[in-house]
Amino acid sequence: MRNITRQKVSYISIVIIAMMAVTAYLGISYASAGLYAHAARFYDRLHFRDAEVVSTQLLSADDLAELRATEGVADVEGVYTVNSRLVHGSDRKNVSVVSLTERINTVDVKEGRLPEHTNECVLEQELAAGLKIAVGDRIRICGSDETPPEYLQVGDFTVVGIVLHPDLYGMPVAQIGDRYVLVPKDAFDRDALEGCYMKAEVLYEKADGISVYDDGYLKDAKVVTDRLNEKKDARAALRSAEVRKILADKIEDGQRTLDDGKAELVDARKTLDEKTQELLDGEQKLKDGEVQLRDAEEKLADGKKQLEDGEKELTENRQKLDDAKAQLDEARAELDDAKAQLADARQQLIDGYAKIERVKTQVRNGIKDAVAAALGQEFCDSIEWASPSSVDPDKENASASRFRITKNLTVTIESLDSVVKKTVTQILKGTEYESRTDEIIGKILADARYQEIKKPYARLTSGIRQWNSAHKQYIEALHKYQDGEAQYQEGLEQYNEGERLYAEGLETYQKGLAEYEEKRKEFEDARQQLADGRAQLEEGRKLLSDGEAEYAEAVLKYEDGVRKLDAARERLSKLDDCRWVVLDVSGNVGYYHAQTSARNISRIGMTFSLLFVLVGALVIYATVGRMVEEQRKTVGTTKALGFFNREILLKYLTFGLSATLIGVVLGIALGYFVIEKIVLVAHQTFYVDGTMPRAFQPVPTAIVAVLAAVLSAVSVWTACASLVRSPARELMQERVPKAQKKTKKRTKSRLSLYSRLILRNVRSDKKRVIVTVVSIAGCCTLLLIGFTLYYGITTAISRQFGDITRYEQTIRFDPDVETAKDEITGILDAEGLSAAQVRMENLMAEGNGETSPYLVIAAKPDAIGRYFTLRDAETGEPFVPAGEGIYIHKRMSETKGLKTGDAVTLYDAKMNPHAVRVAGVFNNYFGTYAFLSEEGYAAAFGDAPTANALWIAGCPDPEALKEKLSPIAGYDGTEDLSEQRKSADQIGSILTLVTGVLILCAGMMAYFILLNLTGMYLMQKQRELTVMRINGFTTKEVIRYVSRETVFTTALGIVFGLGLGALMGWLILRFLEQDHVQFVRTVTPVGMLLAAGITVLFTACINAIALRKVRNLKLTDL
Amino acid sequence: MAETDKKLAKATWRIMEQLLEVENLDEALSGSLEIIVQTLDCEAGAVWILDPETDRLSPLTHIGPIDLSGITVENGVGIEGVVTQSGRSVMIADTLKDPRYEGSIFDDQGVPVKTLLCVPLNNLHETIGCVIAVNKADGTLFEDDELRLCERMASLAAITIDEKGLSLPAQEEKRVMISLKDIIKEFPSGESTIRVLKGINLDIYENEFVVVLGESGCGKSTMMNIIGGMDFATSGQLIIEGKDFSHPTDDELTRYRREYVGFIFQSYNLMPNLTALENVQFIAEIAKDPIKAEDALKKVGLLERANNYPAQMSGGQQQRVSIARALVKNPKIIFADEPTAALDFQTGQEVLVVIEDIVKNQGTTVVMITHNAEIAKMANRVVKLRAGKIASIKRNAHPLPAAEIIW
Repeated sequence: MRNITRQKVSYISIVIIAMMAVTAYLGISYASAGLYAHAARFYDRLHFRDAEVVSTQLLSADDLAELRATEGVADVEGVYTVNSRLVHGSDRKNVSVVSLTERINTVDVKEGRLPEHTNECVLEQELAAGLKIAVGDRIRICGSDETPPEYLQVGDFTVVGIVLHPDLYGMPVAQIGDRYVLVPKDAFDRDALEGCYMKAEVLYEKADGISVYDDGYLKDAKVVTDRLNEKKDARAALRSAEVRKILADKIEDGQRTLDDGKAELVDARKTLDEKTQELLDGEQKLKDGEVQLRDAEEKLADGKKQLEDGEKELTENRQKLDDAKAQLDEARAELDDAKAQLADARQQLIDGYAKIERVKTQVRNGIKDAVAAALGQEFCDSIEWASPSSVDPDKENASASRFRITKNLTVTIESLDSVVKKTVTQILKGTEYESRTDEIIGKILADARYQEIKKPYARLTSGIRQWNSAHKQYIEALHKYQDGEAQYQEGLEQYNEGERLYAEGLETYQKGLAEYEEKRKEFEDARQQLADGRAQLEEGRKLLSDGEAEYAEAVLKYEDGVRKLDAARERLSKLDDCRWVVLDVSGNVGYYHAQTSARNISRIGMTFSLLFVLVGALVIYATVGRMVEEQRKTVGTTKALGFFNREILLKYLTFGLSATLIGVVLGIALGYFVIEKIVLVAHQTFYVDGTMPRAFQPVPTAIVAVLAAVLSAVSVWTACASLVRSPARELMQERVPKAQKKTKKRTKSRLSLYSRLILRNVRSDKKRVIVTVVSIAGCCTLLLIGFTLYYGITTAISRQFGDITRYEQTIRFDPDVETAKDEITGILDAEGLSAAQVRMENLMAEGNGETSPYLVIAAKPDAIGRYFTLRDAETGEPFVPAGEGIYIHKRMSETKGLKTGDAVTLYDAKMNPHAVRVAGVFNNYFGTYAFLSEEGYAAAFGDAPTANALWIAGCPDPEALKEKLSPIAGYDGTEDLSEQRKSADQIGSILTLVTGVLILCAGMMAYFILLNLTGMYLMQKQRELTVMRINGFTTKEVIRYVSRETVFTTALGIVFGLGLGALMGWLILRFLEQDHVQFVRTVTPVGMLLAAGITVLFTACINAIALRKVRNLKLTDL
Repeated sequence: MAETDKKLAKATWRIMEQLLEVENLDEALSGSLEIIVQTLDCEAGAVWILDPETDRLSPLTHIGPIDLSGITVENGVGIEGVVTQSGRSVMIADTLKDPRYEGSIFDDQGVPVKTLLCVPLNNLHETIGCVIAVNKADGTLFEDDELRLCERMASLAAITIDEKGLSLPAQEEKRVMISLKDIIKEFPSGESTIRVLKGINLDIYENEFVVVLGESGCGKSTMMNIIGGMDFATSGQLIIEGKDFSHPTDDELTRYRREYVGFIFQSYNLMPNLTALENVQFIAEIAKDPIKAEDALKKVGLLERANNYPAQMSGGQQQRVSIARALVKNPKIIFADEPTAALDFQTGQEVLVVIEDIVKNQGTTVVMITHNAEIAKMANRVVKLRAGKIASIKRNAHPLPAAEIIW
């Protein structure tokens, strides 16, 4: 215990190195076991088939029965499967539609349930995840021409569950090929299949719980598989005969049907021709009607125009009439007013006249009286005195001026005296009094009474003047009125004439309008008739064209039938013999991938642990050796005191063993909890069945523990060997450096004192120096392995996706859909994308007895050259495929042992063999590319290659392109090379992680072991260094002195480390490679520089830490 | 009082023994001074002898924290001079209060005098020097009884000198190489500190052989580490070749060790992987002005073993290689830390002979630590350390040759 505390760092370093060795081996070994266990559990749970029998021409019920009857076979179940396309939204994906089984290859329902109806299906988990399809979604299954695929009754399915299928253990990155859509058996057309299956899953009799990776199982299974293989040829031959018979019958049936069809076609042609003639007649009629209609239409338009003119004129006249009427009415009113005024004036005139008459009467009476007075009454009475007169004011000559005094005497108004004179003169004329006239006149004039009338008479005069004036005005007004009346009457007459004319015009217009409407209606009717006629004609035409189309279709169908029948006849004539393929568990890619991974991991574990074990043993040896050296004298004393060798040894054994065992325990824990976890986490991304639980292996663990103990014991023993051998006396003395005079003399002349001293230091402390060199070498090895892995993958990725494959998308299409290629190319041209046409086929190939999938590409040299660089694996020179033979990639040539000139058999989709020879080997890192020239393809397959895919690059938006292409019939989807790149990157990220872990390990190794060793070295040299310092060596000089050895050991360690690292890196890369994955195996100078550089950095850091001791040396401690 | 008397009487008796019976007067005087300093519990003390030719006083021996070696004082100056000139004892109980006090060499050298006794060495005819004791450790003042003890000792000493004759060594004017003033070294110990050196004052002169004596743990190695440039003083002044080295940088120290100093260790410390010659060459390579490695080996008489590894040689031979290694740098000073401690008498003596030879014939100064008082007899000066202070520095007027030393 005291030893341990004193040698803490050394003890820890043994613990650490033991831990690292154990961690590396067991951690990786556990991980390998974990991988196996996880896969085995998956297969066991889902009753993974032990064998699968696939027939090129279906398996009959008899075949299944025969399989079942094979010795060692426990169960057989037939499976329907068909390759088709899944359509979900704009996504299209090639899938295998597989019937669900009951006992073998059962599925693990992860979500939802199993189908209960024929239109329900379940999807393999990764397929659903890749297309983002959820339970409840609807999908369509179809062929490349969007029609339901052969043998499948249903096209549309509802997804009711997400499942895992034992055939698909690998994730898509690890397992290429179509994923499954699983449907009930009834979804397949079992009648069409006539009770046959596409393949049969076979379960062997075996012990419960035995792992499918177990060697025992594999051995037993091989026996049964061999039995199946023995049967396959005979069964296949039987099936061939059966198929031929069925085909011949079908051809006969078909011919009959075709003949019937032909007769029907002839009838139909005749009917169609008749109908065509009818249609032509109708067309002519329609044309005539159209001409007539056009004339009528013109006339109607004229009539309408006239009517419109008439209507306009009428309206104008009406307006005029209305205006005239208004004027007339106005004039009437004015006239009526005037008339009324005139009547008033007349009345006034009459009234005035009467008034005047009354005055005149007064005057006359006066005169009369005067006369009477003058001449007696009698005389007076004899005179015929005028009575008052009336007047008609309407007479123009009417006047109030005239004053009828007697019947015969009328005077005009003048002075009363003259009136009297005239009157008297008059009256007296002829009478006795004539002579006396003057006297009488005088008398009268003198009469009083006469005097009395003078006054009224004066009034009369003015009255008469007024009346005459008024009368004159009246007459004028009357005249005016009469003129107006006359005018009015004239206007009225004109108006009435107008009214009469208007009424006449209106009548004419209305008559015309009625006539127009009638014609109009007649026209519309005619037009409708024409339209109806036209529609009828169209209908007739359509019916006819439908009829024609139907007929053409029927003809096509007939021709197709003929072709099909011919093809069927040809097929029958060329019908290949049926072939059976029997696949064992390894035939499943997922199984094989897991197996290879687990095996490779375990190999890597072995490689790493060898390194750690080597370093570990040496560290124990050196540490214990140094302890022994330090305690030489003590040991010598102990020995001298009578202790046995074994007692002394026990002390060191305890030291070494306890450290080793603690390391082992820590290593087991670290391996189990950390390394295994990391490896499993890295690998579980490749497999579908979720998290991988850790596995523990008690037996290997125990063996490792025992081995570690033994190794540690041996190391201690070796280290202590001299101790045990030497007698106590010798041990108690100082050691003498083994200096040989010869060497000294030789070296003296050449080497400086320093170099000599270092060489002697090295020689006298070999154990420590060797371990230091080994540790540095180990550290450098780990680093170089790390960088080799890192550059191996990253360089491979950059070469593959930078130089080799330069296409970015593969657009697949069905070459049988003739328009597909042109339509797709059209869209690509519009997008400005230039495509290379290639034939791309996933074919199985057999070479050297091993079968593996090839992605066979055949195209014109320029098409290949544009998007794929083929470089000769030997020379690195680029080339294009030419001539006959297949070009395979290097990894394939290695794994299958194929070289130029070797025979390879390619199996087409129908498993027909086509023999080719290897024409060359090219460099490729990811994928299973194989190339044929067009000529080579024709030679191998009999036909020139028809393109079924387009390679493009530089598409800015592949998703949008997919959307555009997806409606095209025959478009089979776009594969993005970035998917492949993703899977490569995934490997890359795992290896980068591993590189990180390795750098960490190297750092740990450097830290714990180198620090220990350097510490050891310094402790040993402490006295020397102090003396140097005391003697005036500067700290720098002392450090330089100490570092010389470090430089020497580091350089040596790096040299060994680079060598070993390159070798181990190469080995590990080879272990990691798969059939379709190759790394760049050459160690890059950059990797070497980095490894060396980091090693130097580590040692420099460790020395910087350790050399602090030199700075802190206490000179007084000597 | 009676106890003091008894103590003084006992001291007187011991002084008498020393002075009357001892063969070597130097030692007798220094022993007597030691008794006085012990008995009176003084801080320091000295015996000064007057050189009538120069009329100057020089210290014959002294005790205390300061190195008085090499100091001379004019007669009549200072308390020592006054007493020697007047021939009368002086006791100044309190220097601060007594107007007679006019200073002392102790004051000049850094020990402030608080109380003192100074007694003349009077023989029948004249005064030949004085004895001085200063400062009591307990801080009390000197008393008359104590003066009497001194006077008694002085009388005895004067008589003895008269009888035996005292031949003072010619006072060579030696150059001081290294000077330590008030060097204090403390080491941390837990929360407190341990003061290992409590104020060392020492001069090392050119071409002298100084032996440092002292019990284990008295601080002699610590002092040597400081002088040797391997450690720093906590405080105080270290002057090397007139240059202040009190606070040197690591580089300065390294250069000092490299160019100025040679080391000889008790445990040889040779490089096991180098031969004798190579061990010497190894160091010669860094020296500024080395002598030939072969010559160095020849000097220690090991040329014929030049190609032997240390493990192939005896301890004495290894130590001689170690001396050759120190010599090869042609250093001004060699520090030797118990070089003979691990050797038997015979080989030890061989080693001492070599060292003696170095001092005599190479003019190198050697400072050697030993706990073997016999070896001190070959030194020019013997410095005794006690509890981190210099107990005494004695000048050997007549160093013994190494070959004559027996232990």
